[in-house]
Formats: sequence, structure tokens, C-alpha cells
Amino acid sequence: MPPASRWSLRSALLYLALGLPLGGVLLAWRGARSMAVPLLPLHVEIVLVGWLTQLTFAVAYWILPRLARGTSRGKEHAAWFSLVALNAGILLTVAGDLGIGQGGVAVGGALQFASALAFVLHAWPRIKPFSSPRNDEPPGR
Amino acid sequence: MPRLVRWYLKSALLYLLAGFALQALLAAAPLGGLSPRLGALWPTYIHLIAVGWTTQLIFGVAFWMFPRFSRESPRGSHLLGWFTYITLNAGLLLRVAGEPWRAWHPGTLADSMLFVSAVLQVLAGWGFVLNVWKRVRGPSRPRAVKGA
Repeated sequence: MPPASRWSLRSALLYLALGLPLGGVLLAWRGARSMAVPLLPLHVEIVLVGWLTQLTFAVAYWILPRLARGTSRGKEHAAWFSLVALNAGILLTVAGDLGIGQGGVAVGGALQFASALAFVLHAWPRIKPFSSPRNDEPPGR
Repeated sequence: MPRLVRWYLKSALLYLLAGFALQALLAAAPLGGLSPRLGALWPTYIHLIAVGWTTQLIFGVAFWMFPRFSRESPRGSHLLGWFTYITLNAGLLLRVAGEPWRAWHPGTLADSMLFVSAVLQVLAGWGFVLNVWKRVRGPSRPRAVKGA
């Protein structure tokens, strides 16, 4: 598993571990939605983007067919940019939701869009038929 | 494919069916003159898909395909894997029952069901993180079990 996927997967696991208790509070305590801290947008951001989207990016970077006869994962800098921008975007959005930093949600949203764009640029050429036996390896490296 | 993974994946498929069936019901409610109180099931639908289908599928596939933990125990702890499966599904089913119940008949019983549901789902998530954390690693050789 390449370093970018490892960083991304571990971040996703941390967001899962953090996002579920937020959802648990919302589910178990009826007053949670009217708290001063907006738990629902935090829960949605952390679980939907931090956990599900980030995990998808990480696994795609790991297992999509490789380029150059199976030796390259393509635009690695785009994958790294996507990872950094996504996490910066999540943290800024969360900070904005918590009222820390003016415009955090807007900047966070822009960074998440940039992350998605970089991910698409990276992944697009890797969505292709297997062209050689080396490309047909199961994941694990 | 290990038995635990089959349980995860087949359960995920059933939640997919249940989620989209509920979505169809919710969409048809205004047309068919069904009770507008069915709207209380909207969060249940979201969580059938996000937890029962997507997250459960991820748990199953990760347990199956992530790099080996060790030669002797390639998928980490099966016991923790089963604990995760049982708590995730028990928690989600309690939510499916308790959430509409609380909307229509608020009371201590429904509140208790949802509290237990929340605790179970959090435990499931933490159990999964604990079990796969060390399997998120590079192409080095699988680590040996201590004492082996």
C-alpha cells in the first residue's frame, strides 16, 4: 500500500472514530440539535467527507490499474495535493462550523473542491482496461 | 472469502434493498395519501444507506483485502471482527426500530433504545479502527506474531 493511501486511510479511520460519537450524541440526546455547537453539520462533514470520501480516494489510489505497464500510479503529486487539500478543507470547515475563523466554511469548501478536482485528474487516466498481466495483480504493494 | 466477510457483504446488500425500499416508500407517501408522519423515517433511510450499506461494505472488504496483519493471523482478530459486525448491526437495527417509535410515541423506552443504539454503533466503529489500524501499511513483510 503506497504512502499516500496509508496517510489517507489512517486519517479516514480517525475521522470515523471521531464522527461516530458525534452521531451518537445526536441520536441519543434529543436536545443535541439545538445546542450552540452545530453537531449535525460537524457529524455530516466528518463522516461523509472525512471518512467515506477520504477512504474512497485512498483505496482508489491504491488499487486502480497502474500506468506505464504497471509501474506507475500516474500523477502522484495530484494525489498528494488531493490528500492535503481535502484534510485542510475538512479542518477549516469544522473550524468554521465551530465559529473559529471567519469564512472557514467557504475556504474549506473551496479546498475540498480543489481536492476533488485533483483526485479526478489523477484517477481519470487510471480508469482503463488491464493492458498487461502485470497490471492484473491484486492489491497489496 | 472468510465467513465474517460474507456476513458483512450479504448484510450490506440487504440494507441496500431495505434503504431503497424505504426511499421509494417515502417518495410515494405524498402521492399515495400515506401519513406525513412517515417523514420521521428520513434519517433512518440515510443511515440504512450510509451505515448499513456503505460503511458495512467497507468494513467487510477492508477486513477481507487489507494487507495481512501477520502470517499466523492474516486478518487480525476475528473475535474483534465479529464484535464489530454484531454491534454495528444490533445498533443499526435498534435505530431502525427506535427512531420512528420515538417520533410517534416519545418516551423512555424509545429514548433508551436509541441510547443503546448509539453506544453500539460507536463501539463498532472503534472496534473496526482498532482491528484494521495495523493493517494499513506498506509492502513490507507481514509482521510476525510475538513469541512465534
